[in-house]
Amino acid sequence: MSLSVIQVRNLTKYFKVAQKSAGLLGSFKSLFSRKYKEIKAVNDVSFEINEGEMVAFLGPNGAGKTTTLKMLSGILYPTKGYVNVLGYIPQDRKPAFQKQISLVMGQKNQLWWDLPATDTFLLNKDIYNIPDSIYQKTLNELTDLLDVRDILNTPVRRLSLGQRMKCELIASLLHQPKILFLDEPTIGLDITMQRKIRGFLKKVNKEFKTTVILTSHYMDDVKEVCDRVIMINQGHKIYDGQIKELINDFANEKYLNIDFEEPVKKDDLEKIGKVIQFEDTHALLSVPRHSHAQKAAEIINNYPVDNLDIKEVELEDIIIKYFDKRDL
Amino acid sequence: MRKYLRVFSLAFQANLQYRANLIGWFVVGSLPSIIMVVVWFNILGNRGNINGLTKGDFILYYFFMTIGWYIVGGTYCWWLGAWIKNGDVNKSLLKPFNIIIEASIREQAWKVTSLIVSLPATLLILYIFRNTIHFSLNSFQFLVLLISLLLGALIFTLLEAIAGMSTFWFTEVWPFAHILDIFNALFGGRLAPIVLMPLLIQNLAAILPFKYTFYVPASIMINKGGFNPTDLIIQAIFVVFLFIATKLIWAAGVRRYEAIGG
Repeated sequence: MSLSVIQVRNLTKYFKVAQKSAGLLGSFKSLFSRKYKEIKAVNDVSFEINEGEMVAFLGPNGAGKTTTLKMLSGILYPTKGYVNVLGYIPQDRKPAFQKQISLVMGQKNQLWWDLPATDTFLLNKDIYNIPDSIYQKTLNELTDLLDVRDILNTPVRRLSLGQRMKCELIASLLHQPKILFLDEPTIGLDITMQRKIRGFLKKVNKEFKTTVILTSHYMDDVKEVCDRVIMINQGHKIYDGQIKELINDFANEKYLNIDFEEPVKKDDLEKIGKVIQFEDTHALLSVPRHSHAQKAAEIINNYPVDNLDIKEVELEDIIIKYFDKRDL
Repeated sequence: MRKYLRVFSLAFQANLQYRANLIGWFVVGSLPSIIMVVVWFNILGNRGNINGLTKGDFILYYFFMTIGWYIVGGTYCWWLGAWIKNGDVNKSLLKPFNIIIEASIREQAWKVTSLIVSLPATLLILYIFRNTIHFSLNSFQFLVLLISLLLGALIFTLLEAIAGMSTFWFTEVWPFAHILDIFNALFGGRLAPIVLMPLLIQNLAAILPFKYTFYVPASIMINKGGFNPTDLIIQAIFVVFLFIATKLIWAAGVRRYEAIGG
């Protein structure tokens, strides 16, 4: 049985945000009488995460994903609720706890800007008291996994965004944390680099048994890296489960992607299923999952079909549908 | 301790990356003190002294203000304020690492770098006026000076830390940083020796911590009026008081920290 490494109960975080009406008059008013609005960034969220799990926090901008990560890692104090990570209250910031976690933020860096990344690695070695032999072994493994050996002596300011992110990941993993929090780790990276980072995270999870918790706007990060997804919207947890279950529960249809040999009428196709995309000789149809084979056969029998693919509904679509449904 | 030595080494190395900064500091590093010496020489004119301070005392006093700045002074509240404002303080909350110490050590690295750069000009001035100044500390007085410098540096660092932490409440560090600068200049003796200031300033200086950063060690150095152990005791009391205040303000600040950005 897997060990629970994170327990969160009724976690709540409110922020007080100053309000100002537009224009010069608004600025003067706010100078003498400032009004505040309470924002419920995270509202009564509960979950548990087991050792070695790879979990994604999903949700629109401002949903409360990053705030939750910051409370789990001890940066922010909750307004209410209980958080326990690896047996510690993160906000106590005990060194023994800090040595077992790491947080990588796609939009923040810990690397020293003017110096090569190796200098930051050496600083982290001292901060975490990593013995020489373990430091060298881990550094070798990580540099090989990310293929960055040739850039380690280049000042960080001269590295590309992707190279910097790779070095950030190395700096964050040198002390072999048991839990790795990642906030938008692939933001701004090109597709090849995103793919490399995802592959790396899976290897880290496998080789070091690291529990990985990430937030991302890229659905491929979630699909390829994580097994479980926690969806948050307007501070509330709205779904917590395996990605496969999410697809099974919410993908009630399949897509038929069809190329015709000659133009067909859209009205005719609408009798078979919901037309998502349509051009003269190409159509994308949404059909009920349980009868998709029958519908595909109907099209092949009645139309001059050049090619027909049956596609699963994309995770993005399921999530959009889920959020839309919740907003109603 | 090792981790902070590493920070010093990294910060020192990073300073060496910017040659223009070093050339700039070589030009201006000693300038403020030279200007103050010239001003006071003009005020002295043909008089032998003002309130017991001779030409040699003024040179020695402002020489201390130049060199003493590199030991006692700094501007780390700006580091700390910026880190709190833009969320870089997160690293201190995530790692077994104190960001206040980091800020002071990074500034210390800059001070060592800039001291090396401005030393030739400062030593040249001392050489030119070698017959005017009288440096007459015995070994005991020198030890007292070192202790006073250390306590002054601690007071200064803690005041800077408190000013930097104001960012937890007020978002911008500059109002407090400027207030601190003015108070240091006025009550700390950096503008002029406090004995030459109006009585009101002298009385206020006696109860504020700023006098105990620069002025007290400077007075020991110019060696006027003998050794006053009360000054060292007051310095020590301020260190303890400000240390406790810093701990409390940090704990309260981190509680209301919103970790904006990223």
